[in-house]
Amino acid sequence: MPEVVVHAKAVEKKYRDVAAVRGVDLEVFRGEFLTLLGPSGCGKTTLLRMIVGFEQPTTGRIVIDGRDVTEVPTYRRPIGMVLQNLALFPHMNVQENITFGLLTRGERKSAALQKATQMLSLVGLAGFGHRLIHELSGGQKQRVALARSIVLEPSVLLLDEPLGALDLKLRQQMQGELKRIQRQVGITFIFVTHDQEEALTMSDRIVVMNAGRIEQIGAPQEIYDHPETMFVASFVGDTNVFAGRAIATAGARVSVELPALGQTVEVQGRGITPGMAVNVMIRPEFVALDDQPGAPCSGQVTDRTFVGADIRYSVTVGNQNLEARRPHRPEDRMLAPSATSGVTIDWANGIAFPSAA
Amino acid sequence: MRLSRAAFLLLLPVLGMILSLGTGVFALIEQSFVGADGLSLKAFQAFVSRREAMSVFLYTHQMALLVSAICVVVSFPLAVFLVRKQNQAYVLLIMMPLLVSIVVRTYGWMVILGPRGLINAALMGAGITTAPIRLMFNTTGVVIGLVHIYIPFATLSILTVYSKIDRSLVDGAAALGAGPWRVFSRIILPLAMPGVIAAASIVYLLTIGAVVTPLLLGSIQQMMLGSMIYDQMLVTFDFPSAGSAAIILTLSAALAILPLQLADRWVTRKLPAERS
Repeated sequence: MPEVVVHAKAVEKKYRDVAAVRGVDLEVFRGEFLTLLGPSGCGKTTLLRMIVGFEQPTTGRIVIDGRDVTEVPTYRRPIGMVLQNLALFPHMNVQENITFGLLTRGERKSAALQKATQMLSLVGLAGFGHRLIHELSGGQKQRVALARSIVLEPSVLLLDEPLGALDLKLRQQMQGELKRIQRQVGITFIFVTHDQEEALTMSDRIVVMNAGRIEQIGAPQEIYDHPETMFVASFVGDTNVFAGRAIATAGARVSVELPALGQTVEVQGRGITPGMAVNVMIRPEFVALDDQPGAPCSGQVTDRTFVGADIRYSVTVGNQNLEARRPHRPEDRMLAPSATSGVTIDWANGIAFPSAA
Repeated sequence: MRLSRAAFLLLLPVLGMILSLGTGVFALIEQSFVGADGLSLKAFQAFVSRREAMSVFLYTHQMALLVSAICVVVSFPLAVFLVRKQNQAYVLLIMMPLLVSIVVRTYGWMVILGPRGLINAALMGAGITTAPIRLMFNTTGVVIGLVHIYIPFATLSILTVYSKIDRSLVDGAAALGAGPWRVFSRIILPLAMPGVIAAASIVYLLTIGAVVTPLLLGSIQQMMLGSMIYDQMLVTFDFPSAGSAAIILTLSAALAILPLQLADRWVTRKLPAERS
């Protein structure tokens, strides 16, 4: 059983009458990279701010390292935080930013300087100690913000969408860096983002939040392959949704009648009883387009997007619009918009959810 | 930027102002350097050798130091309060006194500070003192009057800088373990320092040039430079003395502001240059 570092117990946060976080229970384990993922306004940042101590929960407790810190001010909590805008001190140079926390803690200046130097080389900024903050690039600022928090060896480091301001290339590079640094120092990271790709690539576990509640907690692959709710299915990754009615169930499998296609298919599904209205989700990579006859149904290509490694097609089957994706190979013939094509769907990877929920 | 020739016409009013103001200043400078026997520094020598003139000079700078220190200390919390309130109405409240003439406001203080004024009446009425305390026609009166007049200037210059400090720096510092006092002393105060220095400079300059308040609330034995010059010009008509005193006042003002300007450079040395 891994050791719990942060425990949010039945945490709720209300602003006047509006609940931002509703009854969240969350255990964060020592040394893991945990991501809070959700659309803006889902309560992930509020939850983070309560763990840091910038906000007080309306009800519930926050426990860090086995100590109830709900009433403890931020500066006495064993946490570190990288804020969204980084909040580097503009009147201090890089080195002073990094030693700030150490000196606040009462460490000797020589020891603090030595640690700062080590930190700088860890984040790949060796020799940058005397640079001024406004002379740094966006990526370098990220590294300084990270270094000045990590140097304090907090029990948990919280990161509030720190990569949001970077361009795509730099963001991907920083994602890798962040993951490398986290592994190297072994500090627990709680990372907040609304970017599902970022969450999938970096996390050990992902907590998907929606409307102030936790929808699902799991490893990235688990979240992607086995979403437990329709929300998770549609928020993480792209997905096609069919409305239908369950006809029969057998263990974890459900037979669903899909009026849009005039077919009955067998998909995964739990907690579904025959006769229930359901939504069936299927990822675009399980929709195959092939022009040879014999496909179970045919559709018309309405749009085509070339994204390099993949080609994304929009296809209309009956009156249902479908997204399909297939890996691009130079020797393949691309389907032209308005072309008619056979459509084969790998229904074994489809998942049915009760449509009311 | 390249301006069309017509644009220079817009500078004409400024030119007119420089000319009319400049003539007066130039005349003053001329009179203090040119005596009956040609060009001389006699007026300045007279100023330096007159003990009461030097005492007025020193007293004026002492007052400026005291008044600007008090103004900064009072204005800083006020500016913080105004920024936190996020309410323009409060800022307006601070500005309102500027709409009333200094003379009127100073007379207002006489009503409050006088021997039978509000404060003394209250103190004696409550039995705390038996005889009225001297609150005006001395240093106390001048300091109270000047601080009151200059607080809006000091508050606004601190407020301008303080309101631009990124609030998230406070959060960031707290997350690094800094308690309220350390956040204030290491983050807020250093970043607000340019505003504090500006406030101190403005109040210092305004105080050494003050005329009305020292004249009405100060003692006759201990004048300030401004009121002394006023006396020399309008009571004894001694223009050379007034001129040399004015020049000494201006030069010493510049000299007094210099360290503040250097301090400003020092506190902002790591910040990005102001975008202009």
